Amino acid sequence: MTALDLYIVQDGGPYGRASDYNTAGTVATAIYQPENMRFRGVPVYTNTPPRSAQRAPGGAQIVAMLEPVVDKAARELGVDRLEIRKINAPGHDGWLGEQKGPFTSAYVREALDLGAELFNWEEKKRLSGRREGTKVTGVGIGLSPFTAGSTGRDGLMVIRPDGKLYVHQGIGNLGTHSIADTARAAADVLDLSWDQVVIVWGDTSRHLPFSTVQAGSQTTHAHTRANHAAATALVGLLQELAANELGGSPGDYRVADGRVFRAGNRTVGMDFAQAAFRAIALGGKFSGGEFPEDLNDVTKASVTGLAGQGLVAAARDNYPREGAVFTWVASFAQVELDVETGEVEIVDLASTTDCGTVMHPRSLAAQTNGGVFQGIGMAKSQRWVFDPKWGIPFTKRFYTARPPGMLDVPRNPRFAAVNQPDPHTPVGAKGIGEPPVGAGGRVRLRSRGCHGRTLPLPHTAHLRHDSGGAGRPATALRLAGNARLTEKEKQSGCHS
Amino acid sequence: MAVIRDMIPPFELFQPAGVDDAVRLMQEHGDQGWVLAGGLDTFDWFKDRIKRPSAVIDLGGIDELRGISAGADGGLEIGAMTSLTDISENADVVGGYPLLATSAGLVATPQIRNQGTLGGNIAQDTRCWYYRSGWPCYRAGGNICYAATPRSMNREHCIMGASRCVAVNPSDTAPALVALDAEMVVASTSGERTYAATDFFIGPDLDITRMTVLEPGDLLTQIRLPAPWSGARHYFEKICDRKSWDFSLASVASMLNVEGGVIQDARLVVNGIAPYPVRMGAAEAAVRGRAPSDETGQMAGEIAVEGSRALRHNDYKIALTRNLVKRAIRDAA
Repeated sequence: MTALDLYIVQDGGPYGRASDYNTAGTVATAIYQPENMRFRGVPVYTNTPPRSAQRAPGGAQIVAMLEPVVDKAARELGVDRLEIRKINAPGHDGWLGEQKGPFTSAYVREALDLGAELFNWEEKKRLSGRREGTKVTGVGIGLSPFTAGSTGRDGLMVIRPDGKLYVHQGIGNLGTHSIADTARAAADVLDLSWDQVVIVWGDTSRHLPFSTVQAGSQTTHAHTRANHAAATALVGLLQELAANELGGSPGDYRVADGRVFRAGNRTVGMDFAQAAFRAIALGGKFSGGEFPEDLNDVTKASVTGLAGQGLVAAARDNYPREGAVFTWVASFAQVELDVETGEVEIVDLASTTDCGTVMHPRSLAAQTNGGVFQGIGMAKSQRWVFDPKWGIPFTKRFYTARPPGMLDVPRNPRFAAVNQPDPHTPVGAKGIGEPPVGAGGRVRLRSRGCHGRTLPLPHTAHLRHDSGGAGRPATALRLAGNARLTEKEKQSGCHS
Repeated sequence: MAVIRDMIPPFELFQPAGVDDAVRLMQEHGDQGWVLAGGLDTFDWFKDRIKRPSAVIDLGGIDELRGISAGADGGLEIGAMTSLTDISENADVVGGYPLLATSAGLVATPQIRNQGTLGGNIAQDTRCWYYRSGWPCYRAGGNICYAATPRSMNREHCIMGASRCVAVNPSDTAPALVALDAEMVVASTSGERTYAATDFFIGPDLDITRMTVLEPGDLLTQIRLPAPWSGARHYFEKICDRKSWDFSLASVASMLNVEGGVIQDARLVVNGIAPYPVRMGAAEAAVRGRAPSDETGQMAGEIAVEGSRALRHNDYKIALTRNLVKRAIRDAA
């Protein structure tokens, strides 16, 4: 992309959520690495109901806006739609934003290649425009990144006299498994069986560390780091404790299987229960009487609350990180459009991601597919409807807002991850929560051969009555690639 | 923020054990009484505090309103409180009246079909969001239709049958019942009367505050189906934004009697485009004596939308109706 001139006008609602347009501009640089760029953005207060982002604020919107333009460019240049994305995608030396800051890692081309293989792009793309009866086939790609991690949070854990490791988590539990997955970082550092780990979470009376909000753009990255840091500190305390009790220097000791023991001689050491008792007896830094000064205040209070209950370790995530953490999702879809009703069925869907190290394969697939489905819903049926004169919202119930249901998505969506660790974080994991939405929304629109001007783009937007009485679906014309659009069809939101 | 208030205003609850008791209670409470069937139309109204009846008459305990049994002349009699799941799965309905079985099986979700009743699905109020949000429109007793102004959000509203109000009938089963020549049995303290399904649903030109003939004190008790057409071809299709828990943007039900490759008789009904299920009489007449082909369907579709008039956001319904009618002729099986 040699140049990108981006002018965004943002409908900010009555109280002005003013950041999305700016994020959109940054994400645009991330995806396409434009050689030259002018960016202008204007947030506007509007007499409409209050609104807030659901996922990938700014990112989902800009992907929906620009991906079809890239497809149009590919068509004009005679370049494959997959190739044009790979040409413009960043590598590890990529950049983003006004300051052209680096990424920590970017396996974008790898994700696209993996998706193309999973979806069988080379074969499937030939189906685009095929008509069988009233059904026209469309095939498309969506590529979506979003920020995927923060730093500077704290880890806090205790080995209690029962010999188990208690990992205190300040994050919530939304059913995404990150409450457990991020604790596994500590188990791995300690080489400890997972069934010897107890996760402590909930209200702050349980002495929780300073944490991120529970969000896809934050949690996995931030708390694998924080728990890794605290577990590393815990290993140090165990080694020092063992050296004090059993002689030698801390470096002579190893930690594994619920014991700290002398390297080369496992019989010289103590188990975690014994270590906890000794820590309580010794007090001070071993049982929470002292703690690192750089901890956040919330964590300091929690350590104080836990003092004397075992071997207590707390640490702030001070790992260096040079660059922005971004996760990428590429989605590929095959859809069938019924030209008589405008209904679209997604008959095949494959998504891949570069989110660093895979922490939990099934949960990752669920997060990715779920996000893609949400994006499909935003593109197709989920709506925000209010009377433009009176500003009163109507989509105030689940069935009126119309998010997609299970019958609206393929029964067996496919998924794969590049699974390459991010080198700037000790566990290598990045978040997954945000970017699938943009990919899902974009792929659904692109598969219909439609350059949507508005979202959502319900199937009825393609079924307009024109003055000639034909009532032809605009998308069918686009997919067939053989006709000009009527003015009505252009107004319907499906136009080049 | 959404105006959803989950506190339902207090009311007096009656749970009659028989139809006679129910209609007596309905008569007693008049327009202050509310008939509760499956509750799926009711509780949104109540939670939003837009409907505030002083008495609720719960039909859940009236066994005589449930069940599917053989009717006169080879037909079926279906109690109004029969669940949509029972109807969609009943062998006699599936075998003899696939239009009804299919349409009932497409209502909302399995959970709602388990709880929802055929009578409730037929008699439910319109889903016009201006009306259901409590705006003082014609249908609510006011003097304006908020959905018909130049700036209104009216993608879901009607393209025909409007008379001041532009709301549409939301029922999935209603067009099937009209196509099947069903009869509606209505009880009141004055006795029992029956209506042809096509007459049961009314437009705002007759009464802008109601969608059916039911007045306060009237109870829909039974739906009677005549004997099915021998060898008939059927077609039902519901178009909506998503495949579950959604009301139709338009739906079509057709029943064709085809002999020797020629349509002898036809029933053709479209819902979601008018305040009542629209029986396409002119199209029915036009297809008689013709093959059920794409050309015949196209002709029927063109006839069906004659006189239709789009609002600002729903001109797609004209094309959609035309195409659905075409499919209902061409693809009936």
